[in-house]
Amino acid sequence: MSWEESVVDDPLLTIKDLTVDFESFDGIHKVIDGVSLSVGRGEVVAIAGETGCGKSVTMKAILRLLATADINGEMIYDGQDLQAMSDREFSMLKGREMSMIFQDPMSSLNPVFTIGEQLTDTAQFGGRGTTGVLEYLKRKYTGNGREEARQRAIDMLREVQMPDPEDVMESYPTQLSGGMCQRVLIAQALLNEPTMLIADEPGTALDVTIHDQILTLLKRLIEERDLSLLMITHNLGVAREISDRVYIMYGGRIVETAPTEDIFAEPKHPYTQGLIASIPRLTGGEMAKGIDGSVPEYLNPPNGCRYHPRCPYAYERCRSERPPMVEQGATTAVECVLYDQPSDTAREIPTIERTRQAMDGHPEAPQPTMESETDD
Amino acid sequence: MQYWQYIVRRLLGVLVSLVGLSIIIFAVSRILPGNPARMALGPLATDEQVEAFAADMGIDQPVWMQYIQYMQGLLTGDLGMSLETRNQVLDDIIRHLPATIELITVAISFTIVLGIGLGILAAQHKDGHIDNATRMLAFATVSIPGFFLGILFQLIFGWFLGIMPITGRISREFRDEVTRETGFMLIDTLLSGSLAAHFDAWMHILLPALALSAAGIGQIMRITRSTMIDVQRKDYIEAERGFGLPNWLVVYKYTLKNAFVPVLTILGLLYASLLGNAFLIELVFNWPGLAEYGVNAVLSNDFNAVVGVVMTIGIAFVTVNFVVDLLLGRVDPRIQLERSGLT
Ligand SMILES: Nc1ncnc2c1ncn2[C@@H]1O[C@H](COP(=O)(O)OP(=O)(O)OP(=O)(O)O)[C@@H](O)[C@H]1O
Ligand code: SF4
Ligand SMILES: [Mg+2]
Repeated sequence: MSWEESVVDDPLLTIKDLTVDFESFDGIHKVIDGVSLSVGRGEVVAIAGETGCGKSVTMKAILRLLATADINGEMIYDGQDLQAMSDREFSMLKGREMSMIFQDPMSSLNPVFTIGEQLTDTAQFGGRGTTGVLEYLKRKYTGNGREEARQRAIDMLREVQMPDPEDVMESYPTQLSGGMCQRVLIAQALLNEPTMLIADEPGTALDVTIHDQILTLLKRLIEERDLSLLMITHNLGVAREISDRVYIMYGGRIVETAPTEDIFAEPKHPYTQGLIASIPRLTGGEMAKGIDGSVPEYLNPPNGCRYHPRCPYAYERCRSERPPMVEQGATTAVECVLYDQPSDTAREIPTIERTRQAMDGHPEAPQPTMESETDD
Repeated sequence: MQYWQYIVRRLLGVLVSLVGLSIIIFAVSRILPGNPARMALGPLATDEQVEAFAADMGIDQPVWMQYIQYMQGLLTGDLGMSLETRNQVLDDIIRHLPATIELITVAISFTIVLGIGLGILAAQHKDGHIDNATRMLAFATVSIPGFFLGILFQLIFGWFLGIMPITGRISREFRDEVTRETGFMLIDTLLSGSLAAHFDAWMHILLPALALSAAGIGQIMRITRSTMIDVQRKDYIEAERGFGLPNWLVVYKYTLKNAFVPVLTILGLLYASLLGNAFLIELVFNWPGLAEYGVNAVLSNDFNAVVGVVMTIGIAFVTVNFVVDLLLGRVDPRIQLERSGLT
């Protein structure tokens, strides 16, 4: 690759060439295929892409939650090689250094324990994977710190603006609304004061007003606690609102990265352009169309650029080789062959206007030029 | 909804079941063929004697009168006299019941401990050797009938190896030493202060209890394994791991409690088949429990005794289901909320 991931000077988390394969009876699903990214200290970074592009898998791979997957690549957190850590060492990091908010608030809380029990246990034993049974019983039943842990949980609930935290502690998840469950999960993630938070689409499962409240809350918490955040979302609007920098993900690869402002002002990758062109504009009147087609399958992914079956600019070369990550200034890079041409064979450089034309079926819109539609 | 409200609701359910049960049992007992008084007295008795005896027993009354008397009896614990043993049926049952309860309790304990234990082990080593071995074991225990297993045990451990007693509850040499206090041999032997007798009682109960529990162990093992594996895939388990909780805490607290819900339900159902199988096992091992008494009662048309035995089993079954419901309500709050129509 011609571009070394070094967008931030002092990265807290660096991922290099991450691959995640799942084996099934049908064969090997190459879901994550060479993802590199970094998150700086105090930085808010978004990973955005359509559903199924591998966002959650990326996050779970980082947090060692994929027991059955084959994971390769380099992951460095705060100077430590995550791959080299034993499970015990890693469990001391989880929750205390790196914590996460899971995608679905309703199913991410244990239905047969009260919120209080779950939060208090997390406060006392989260990120302390080496605690033994005896120590647990001692702390739980002889009051050894249990009351403080409980108080910490209640304070945390208050901090995420949960109404009646004391009542909530006694409730079971089924008795709470989705928004409340989401707040509980945020509280749980922050209980052990992590440095870095990975958030998988918090709030998207909820209705719009609640979603907005959750985002506002998150923004406030990030600022107050000086958190580094890796925010996963399929909603570019969320990325725009919250992040400093964006990675666009497609089919298990990062196809573009840039500071948030730049990516909206001047998206470079045809896929990014397509995504931005399909954001509905309330003022524009006209309803935007989405990009035709769907995310690739991972059992037999398209050769070369995984986006080529849907790309209006595609040509032969897109199918024959994986495009290199091409640097476009210090903090911007794009994985598309059009940015890697010798200057004499100038093909059209994609712009969002031209991409929109292609999506609208404009007569002079860019057209893919392929000799045959069949893949080899 | 408070837990006690849930309990009260369940208790009302129990009452309704018991009333229904008593009506059914009464109806069935009165349509047994043959004249019970005649059968009790034998062919040599005169018609006058039979009539007098019938009047004595109250079976010459119209059916609705009999029902009222019967219900009165049930409520006061007076089940009438056994036509066969001429004892109060209640006394007979109280004498035979402890042996059966003891057998079933030990069998259920085996089922719970071995079934759940092996199930967890299999789930933790999914597709490994332990998992495969327990799968074979489950297959064997579920497909071989308990009484046959009992006979097999007797042959192997009693006959060929000669290391285990094969009938009764205690060896002859201890019979005088142990006085009947509670009727539970494992307890009475302890009360008598003889550890040797206590050990002897264990040796006697081991084979029948194992034979009785085998099928249940297999079922509970498989259910525990599959629900554990199921629960381990849930988002909340992934989340708990993600928060860095100790692995054992995630498995034995957060996963296991969820897995208990189906296991408990199956245990409640198992209890019914255990009661049925216990009859066969008791016959095979010459176990002086309710089976012996019940079978004799049916054969001799001793309907007071039949009613007593069936009612006892019914009460046991309803009680166990009640307890299972209580535990389920404790384990899974959703069940409590659901059954009271609050969610
Ligand atoms: N354990 C697994 N085994 C096999 N394939 C998996 C596994 N987990 C995820 N995948 C596949 O990986 C792909 C990406 O899934 P992922 O959950 O990361 O998508 P996502 O980007 O988070 O989408 P969404 O926005 O819907 O959450 C999917 O096609 C999914 O089928
Ligand atoms: S032009 Fe080719 S390389 Fe660039 S996005 Fe389209 S298909 Fe991929
Ligand atoms: Mg996801």
